[in-house]
Amino acid sequence: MFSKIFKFEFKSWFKVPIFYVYSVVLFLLSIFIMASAAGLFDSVTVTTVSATYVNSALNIAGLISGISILFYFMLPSIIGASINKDFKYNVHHILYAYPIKKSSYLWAKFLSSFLVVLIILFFVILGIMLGTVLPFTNPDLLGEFDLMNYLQPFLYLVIPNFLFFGAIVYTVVTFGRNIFVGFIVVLVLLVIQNFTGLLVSYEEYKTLGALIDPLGFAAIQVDTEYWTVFDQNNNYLPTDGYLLKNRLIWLGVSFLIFAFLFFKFNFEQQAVSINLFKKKGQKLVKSNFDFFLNVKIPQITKDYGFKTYFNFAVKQSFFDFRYIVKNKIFIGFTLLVILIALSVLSVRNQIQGTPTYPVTREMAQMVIGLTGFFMIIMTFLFSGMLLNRAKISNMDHLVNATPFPNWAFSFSKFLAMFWVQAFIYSLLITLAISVQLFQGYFKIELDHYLFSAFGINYLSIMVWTMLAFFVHQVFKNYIVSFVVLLAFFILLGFFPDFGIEQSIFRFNNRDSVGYSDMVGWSDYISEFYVYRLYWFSLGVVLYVLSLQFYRRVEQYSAKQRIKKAFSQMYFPRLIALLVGFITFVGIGSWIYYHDNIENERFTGIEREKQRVEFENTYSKYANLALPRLTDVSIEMDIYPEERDYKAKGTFKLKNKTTQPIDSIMLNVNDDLLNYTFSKSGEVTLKDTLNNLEVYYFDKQLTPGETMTFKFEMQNEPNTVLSRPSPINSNGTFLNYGMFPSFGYSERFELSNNKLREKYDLPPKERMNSPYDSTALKNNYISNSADWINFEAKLSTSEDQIAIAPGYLVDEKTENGRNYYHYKMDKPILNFYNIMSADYEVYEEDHKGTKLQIFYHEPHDFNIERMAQGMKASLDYYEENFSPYQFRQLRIMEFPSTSGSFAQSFANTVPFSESVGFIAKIDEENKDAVDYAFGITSHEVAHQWWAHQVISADVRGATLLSESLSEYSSLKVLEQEYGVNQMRRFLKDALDKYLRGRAFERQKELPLMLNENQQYIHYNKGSLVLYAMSDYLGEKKFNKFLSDYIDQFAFQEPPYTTAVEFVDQIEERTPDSLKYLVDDMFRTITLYDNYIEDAAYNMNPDSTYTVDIEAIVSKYKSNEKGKRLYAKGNDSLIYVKEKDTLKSWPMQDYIEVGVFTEIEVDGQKEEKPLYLKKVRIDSIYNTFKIIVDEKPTEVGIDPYNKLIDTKSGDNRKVLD
Amino acid sequence: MQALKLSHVSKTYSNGVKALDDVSIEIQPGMFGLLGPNGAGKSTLMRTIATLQEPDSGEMYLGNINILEDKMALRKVLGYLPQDFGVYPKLSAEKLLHYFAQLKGIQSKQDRQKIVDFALEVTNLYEVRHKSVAGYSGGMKQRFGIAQLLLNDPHLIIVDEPTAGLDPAERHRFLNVLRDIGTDHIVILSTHIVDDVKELCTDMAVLNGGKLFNQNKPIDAINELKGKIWNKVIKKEELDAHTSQFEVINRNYNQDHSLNIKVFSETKPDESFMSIEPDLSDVYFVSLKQNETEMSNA
Repeated sequence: MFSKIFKFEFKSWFKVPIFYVYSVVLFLLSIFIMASAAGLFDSVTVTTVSATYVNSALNIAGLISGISILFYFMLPSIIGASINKDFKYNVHHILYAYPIKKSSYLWAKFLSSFLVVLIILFFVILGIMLGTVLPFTNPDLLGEFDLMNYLQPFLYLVIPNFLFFGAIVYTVVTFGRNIFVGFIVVLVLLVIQNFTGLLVSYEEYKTLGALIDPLGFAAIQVDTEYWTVFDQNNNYLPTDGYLLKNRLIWLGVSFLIFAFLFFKFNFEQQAVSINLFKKKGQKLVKSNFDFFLNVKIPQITKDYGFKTYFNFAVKQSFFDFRYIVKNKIFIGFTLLVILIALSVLSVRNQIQGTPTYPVTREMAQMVIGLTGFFMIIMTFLFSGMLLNRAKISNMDHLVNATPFPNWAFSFSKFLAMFWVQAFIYSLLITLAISVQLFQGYFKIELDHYLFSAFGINYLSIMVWTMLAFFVHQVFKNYIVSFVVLLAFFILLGFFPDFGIEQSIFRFNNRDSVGYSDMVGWSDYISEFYVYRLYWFSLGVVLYVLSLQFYRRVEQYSAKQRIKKAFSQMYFPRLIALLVGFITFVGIGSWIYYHDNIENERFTGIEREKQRVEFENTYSKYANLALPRLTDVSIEMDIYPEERDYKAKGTFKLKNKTTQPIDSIMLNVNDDLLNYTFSKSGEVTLKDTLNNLEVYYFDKQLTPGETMTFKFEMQNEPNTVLSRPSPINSNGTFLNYGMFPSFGYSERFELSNNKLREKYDLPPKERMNSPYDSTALKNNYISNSADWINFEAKLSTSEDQIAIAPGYLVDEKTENGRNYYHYKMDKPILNFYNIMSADYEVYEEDHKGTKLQIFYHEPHDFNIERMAQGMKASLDYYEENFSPYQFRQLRIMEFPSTSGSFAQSFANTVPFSESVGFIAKIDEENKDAVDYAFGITSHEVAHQWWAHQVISADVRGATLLSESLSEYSSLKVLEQEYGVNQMRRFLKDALDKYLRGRAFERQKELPLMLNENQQYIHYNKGSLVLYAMSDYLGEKKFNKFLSDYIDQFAFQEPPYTTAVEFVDQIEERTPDSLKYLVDDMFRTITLYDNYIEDAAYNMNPDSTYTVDIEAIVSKYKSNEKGKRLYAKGNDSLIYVKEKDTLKSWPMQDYIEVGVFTEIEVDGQKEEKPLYLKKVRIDSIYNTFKIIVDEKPTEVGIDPYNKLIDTKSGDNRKVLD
Repeated sequence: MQALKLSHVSKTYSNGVKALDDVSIEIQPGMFGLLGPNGAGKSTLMRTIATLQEPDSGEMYLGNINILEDKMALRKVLGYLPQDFGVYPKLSAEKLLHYFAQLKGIQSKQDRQKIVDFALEVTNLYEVRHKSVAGYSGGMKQRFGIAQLLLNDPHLIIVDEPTAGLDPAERHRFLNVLRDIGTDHIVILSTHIVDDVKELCTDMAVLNGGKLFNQNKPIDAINELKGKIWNKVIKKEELDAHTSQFEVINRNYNQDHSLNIKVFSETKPDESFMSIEPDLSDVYFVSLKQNETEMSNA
């Protein structure tokens, strides 16, 4: 019986178009996505570059998982349909009376459709393979073909996932007897998947996320989070770890689902209803009258006017709305959303374990983020459900024969869709507000929530709804429409990859606007609304067409339908269609004119080629001698209401070389009105495309000679479509980069070597070598200045304060404007900023230094904490490093729309509103770093590490700025919060470093030679310097730093380098520890340390003997992350059961610790009983340690001071 | 009162089936029975008149309303009960009827309440008006169908095979309701059960193979057959001989396994036949038979 049903079912799939449509769609999509990743469209769009191979096992797994998302939504119409067709065509009435075994029936149906799914999946795999061999793809992006790379994802991900999705879809459709539930179940599973993706980004929930992701991708993510580029390119998917556990869990769940299906299923005519509140079903029988009536129909008035139907449509929208929200599946879905929303909203974006205050700006952003993708999918799904509601219930003939007009039907459904969407928004907003209240935050801005939802986000959802209505009317089968919509939505994301870059050609593009508490909605809101109107008018066209295609009368052929749709059009619709169309084309042409003709627009590939052209033409000027800036004086008037500015500048330049200089290259910009040099000459080259001019002096600038350069600037006028002015209504944040500069700028050169090779450019390092003495002439900050005298005269509106580096020498208010004059009394780097905002000011004097914090009034949570950070930092640095060179230190808040960072200019520290100011710090929580304090002390440290000692502009420069600032800040934090807080910080730093290696685009370099790579200079840098200080002793290390400052502070070129710094450390390092300098600074070295086993015994004298077995091994890594060991037999080897461990030879000192727990003020705290650096020279080590108290935990490198590939296994709890 | 006029209405489905073949008819107010076997095109014709489908050619008028051009105008005066229909689950009869009352443009709430109560009374569903229609018995569901079509006081009522699947008692009662409401309107009742027409209709026609013929009053149609229907009892083995020789329009077994055959003939076929009174089913079968012959001759 089984084989008969199986064969019959299997064959039947080849007779339906859906099988071929799905196969072709997925096959083509797979080819396109893979080929585009492999650079097929490089001739029309930005050249694809990647350090990892697109056909590695990991990348293929990712690609298949992505394509599968579309396929999951097709499952209900394959696996679900295989059983649903029996219900749909009422075959089950007959079939279920046959002597079929339920097992044969169920499994044959499932397996036959599953086999069909596998066949389609085969096309996906084939498509991906084909995508790699298409002509015009870039062979550099591909590794060698390896069938395993395809097989593995297929076996580990695809088969179990489709089995699970198949099982669940099959089961719900079998019991629900409705394909629709299948779709919603898929949606629910994807919500869960999305949620687990979020979970794994939190250290605490990583394991949970990896296990409960039904698709297994979160598990892969966790398993491979520290995979280097080499690992990614060469490894197969991990076969142990979380992926295996995850797969076992979900296979188990699939099995349980099948078991449930098998035992619960019966050959019954009626659907099984699973009802929580069981109601006794009853059959109604009510006889008709047995006598004759004299029927007289009551007098009623009917009205077929627009108003009546409009009112009815509104009424019926609630009727339809109730239909959706009372749906059990919808309720289940909503509960899930509530659960996820609550967890996401209450945890929010933590930084180093510390959350932010639930400010409405962030909460509203999260509400919109949560709705995101799912609002769109829901819209696709539910609009189909609503439009086909009558048909699904077989009531369509009844309603279609009534005089209710098509537009009223359609409008009522559209409105119902709006209620559903509004319901979701309101639900999430309510949850967000509850979280705010629950967490004791009462600055609730309901208006902001509502505007974000309905004034911004809904406007884009509405256009999606219109499109959905159109597609659902065009296609008869709502499953087809849904898949079409989804495929379109997915494909849309790839438009830029195919070379379609302009927003006007990408459906419904531009769906959000920036918002900051300081600025309010970004100025670009005007552009946003233009785009919204643009897409809305297309939406109107689509909606009118959807009415024209409304299915009221049956049995038209496609041709007839199109003819009908365009031949008979009511006048109002024709008007709407025309107005929509004209508006759409009109606005589209306007934007096109603005973006392409009025302002020349270049595609990504054109810009790429321009950069090549730029380098080829101008790189010859790179080594041209330049005069250097010695004085900068800026005058700027800021007009916040008009968002305009006017500026004047005077630069003094000096020929510091020994050669005469005959010309100077200027980088100009559109805002520059005019400029003059005090030396006469003429412009000999003017390149308006690259904004570049060369000014040739009549008489050479002789060595030592100075001249002045004066200029005037003004922003280009702001228009609806473009906002060239950098001025904000509140919270303007400008810097030196806006003013003209001198010399050839390497920044415009292409930096990726594969890309350079494509354009026949010589390979280029991202930064110059520190061993190249000519590169030492410029500091890391500026290629045209050393130390400059600086002053700024600023004016702004009466309610704002304008700030620039320097001491305030004059201040006045005139004609409703505030004027400020700032002047530095010591030279600073050519690195300055200009701010203007309506600030509250906190002020304090600290040992002769004036501390100020300028902040946005509602963000007053951490002001004193930041002030404390400034004070503690100044104290520590002055005591340990050198005196602070200024008499003031100021922090000022800037809007989140300008970024989420803090930056340190001379005595002036701009700090984003989204970091620090709204951090919700819990001092009691050892696992949460007070980052408001931490960032403050980091930025203050830059006053030393950058503003006193600055590296030459060569590799390793950021060791001297970022790494040292990070180290300094760690020390202040340690002093303030104790050594225990360091653990969280160091663990975080290690995690970020290891993770950062996975995203390396070119090559990983040792700390000493890093090329401004954040994961190296921040994360590895803080670990390395903290460890170095720990090994050498804090006092000794700080003394070294202090001496280093003495030697190099405020130096003139040639500038110092990280190489010099490391050499000097080495000099101060005892021989036994010199290996550390090599390991940590000069090479990439990693440990893999862990406790193998540990136990303890109590001795007769009440002491305890602890026995520890520990494994210690280390290896070096090349720039791609390949593990390196010593050549020949120099490496250490340890054979452990079937594993052979290998290590670079060691004479290393590694900390071994024994701990106990004590109670301090009711809180458990860790207390070290034994902590000592022990010399290690083999992989396997045993320690016997006697301690006085009962030990609870042991560890090898227990504080994670070393760079360890796996930091979680360094400790072991004793039992 | 206006008449429904169809002229030269034809419809061929994409699979080649000719569902309506040049149908022309004029239907006056009163009960009109459309008889025809399964697959005759009855439902196609009904749906076509009910504006749910368009013919390939032909014209249809209700009074001045050009049905094909102005579907909405017809829908305003139409009450339609399709052969097979469902309803939204979990909704009570009353709620659903209110919904339909809105669809039919009854503006004021009081009016809707009045007409819904009336429809529930007429179909005797008033007491179960709060119950879900999905849980109704077959007969009750059909009555609900009648209730919904009454709401706009329709001039043209189309009921497509409403008695199929009803037990005799329920069917009988159902027809009574139809009779009560049908006197002033055009009621088109399609059925393959001759008795439905016999009990109710003032006019009738037979549809077969998409062709319409024998439009007549049932009484007249029966009268036309007077003296042309002959009866004979034969043995089973003799059937083939008789069918080839005579126009056998009906046959049925007797208890002793002998056969009762009815033959249509202008004159007495031979002495073994006895003249009997014709009834409506004879009209139906004669029509079908004639139609068959015409088709095969054509």
